[in-house]
Amino acid sequence: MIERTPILNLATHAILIFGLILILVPIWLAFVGATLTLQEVNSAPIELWPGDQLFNNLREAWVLSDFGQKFVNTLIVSVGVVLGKITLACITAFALVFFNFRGRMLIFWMIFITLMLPLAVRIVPTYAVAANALSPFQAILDVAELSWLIDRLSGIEVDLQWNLLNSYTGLIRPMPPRPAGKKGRSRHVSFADGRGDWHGPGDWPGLVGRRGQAISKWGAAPGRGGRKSRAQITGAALCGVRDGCASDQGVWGSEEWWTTIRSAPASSLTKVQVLSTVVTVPSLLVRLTLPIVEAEVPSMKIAAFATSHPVQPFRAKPVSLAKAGSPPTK
Amino acid sequence: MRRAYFKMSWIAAALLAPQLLVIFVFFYWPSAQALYWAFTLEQPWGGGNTWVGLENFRRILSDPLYWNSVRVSVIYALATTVLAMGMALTLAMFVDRQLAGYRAFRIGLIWPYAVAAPAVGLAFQFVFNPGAGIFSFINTVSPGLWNPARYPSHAVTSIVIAGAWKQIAYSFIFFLAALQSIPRSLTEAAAMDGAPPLRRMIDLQLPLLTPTVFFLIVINITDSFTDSFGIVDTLTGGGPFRSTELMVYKIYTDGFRGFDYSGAAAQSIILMLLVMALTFVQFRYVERRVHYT
Repeated sequence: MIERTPILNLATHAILIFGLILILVPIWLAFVGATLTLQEVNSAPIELWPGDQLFNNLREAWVLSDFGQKFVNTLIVSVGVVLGKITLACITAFALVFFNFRGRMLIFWMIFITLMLPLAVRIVPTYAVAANALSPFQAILDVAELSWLIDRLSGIEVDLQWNLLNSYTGLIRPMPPRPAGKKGRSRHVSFADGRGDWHGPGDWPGLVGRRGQAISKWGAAPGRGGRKSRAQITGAALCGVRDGCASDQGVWGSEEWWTTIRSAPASSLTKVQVLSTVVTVPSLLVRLTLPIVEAEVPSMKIAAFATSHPVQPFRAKPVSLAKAGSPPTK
Repeated sequence: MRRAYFKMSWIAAALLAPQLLVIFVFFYWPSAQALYWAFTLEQPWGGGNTWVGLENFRRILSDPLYWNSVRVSVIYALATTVLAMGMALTLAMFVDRQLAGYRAFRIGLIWPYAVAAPAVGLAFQFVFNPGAGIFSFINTVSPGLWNPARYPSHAVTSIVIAGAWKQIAYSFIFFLAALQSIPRSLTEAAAMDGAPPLRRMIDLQLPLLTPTVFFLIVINITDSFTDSFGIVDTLTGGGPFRSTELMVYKIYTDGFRGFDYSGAAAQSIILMLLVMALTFVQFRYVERRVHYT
């Protein structure tokens, strides 16, 4: 600004460099670990400078975990989540901010509360819903005896079915319900990387693969898709949640399956190495492109949009709409 | 400050319908089922359930292990929130001075946001490993001085640091965005009145940041109560001696490892009520001190 503050400037640089080091040390160590051999990474004084094994490790990790397909899965799921989330959040926030109707605050809080219960604790019932996304409506119809009524009146048996399992839609749909917020307080406006759910982007593809294979092995339960037994649902949730399920684990719950599960290797430092490489390196590459993207769509501005500070463009909208001739009121 | 409102409520209903439909099917319905399970005893492999009323809650609330997990969760939530927001605020304020090279800092400081929670835990293995990590230099002073696999307090420190590290970037982005949206003319006027940079930070920028601070407190506390699974699972696995068994992690181990669905459902109901109560208290009492514009 206007004054000269050489000492404070020096202190500012010192604080920022110190903070940057604190922030980057874990990422750097994961990166260094990815460039070393197994012996080196397990040796006692930690190595601080990268070795020459990066590409070997990357290749091995890529092949071992079939990351090509998984990245494609991740891409599809995250693009779907981002688009769904932003679209829904935008139109909901628009309705909440610019329309005056009864129950505005009630709806705001109904959406806000969805933040409070993590997906982890409702994963099993969510799986049941994914097996038949229309099951809530079926249940309501059943309870209200409407399905019986429709059956008697028209002779049509109501049996609502919409199976989302083994599909990208099934993975994407449960994600968008995020608070849009009356002041545009969407948490995921500027970036979306699967944060907010305890599985990172790296884990989702595994979910597709494992869940898909596991479920296809069980064979479809006869009758209503939504009425799978609890055991099957549990198994799927387990396979999705834990790394325990190998790809060819046999029939779920059988002796063979348990043997596979029990003999699954425990997490070792090699796995640490491989996983951290594969997760951090691409994300760093993505981040490196940030300055370029930022020049086009300043992410800082998007984040500012989401804070509760006065946001001029948003508020200016209805005025310009009114001027353009569309009547704001009936 | 009145805003222009539209009054066509059927359009509002049409705009709200998709979101409400999605949260009904994928949030409220499963949550209601979890709530139902909390009042029944579920058989782990299917085959029906028995209505037991409040028995699950009684069992959980009289379990000292559960209260232990509540205690650890509260410590974890408070410590990570204070640590992460303090660091994020300091760094954002200094980055906002826009000295040479501040763009590099800005990009570097939001990198942790790109790292998934399980990977955070794994990366911090390299830091906290008592044999070979960065912290092992403490053990050169006196062997066994640092060992998160053995001492509960060390393990809690580890997950707090890792959790705070993960949340810094998010708070940093919001603080910086809020700082940048403070009108330049205000800062300039203060500077011409003779307020040095540090004085401007404390007396001008900080008060103007209160809405962001409030928003981030709500989000950070909620997040550290509900979103701690990945770090705990990869870093400590709940140990040693259950000292890092946070509420979410206990729900997971009881439900999916112990096959006690009813107990886990009851716990998740309690967790949800706790987080809702905390948020309510914050909106009721803290927001009063917040001035929007």
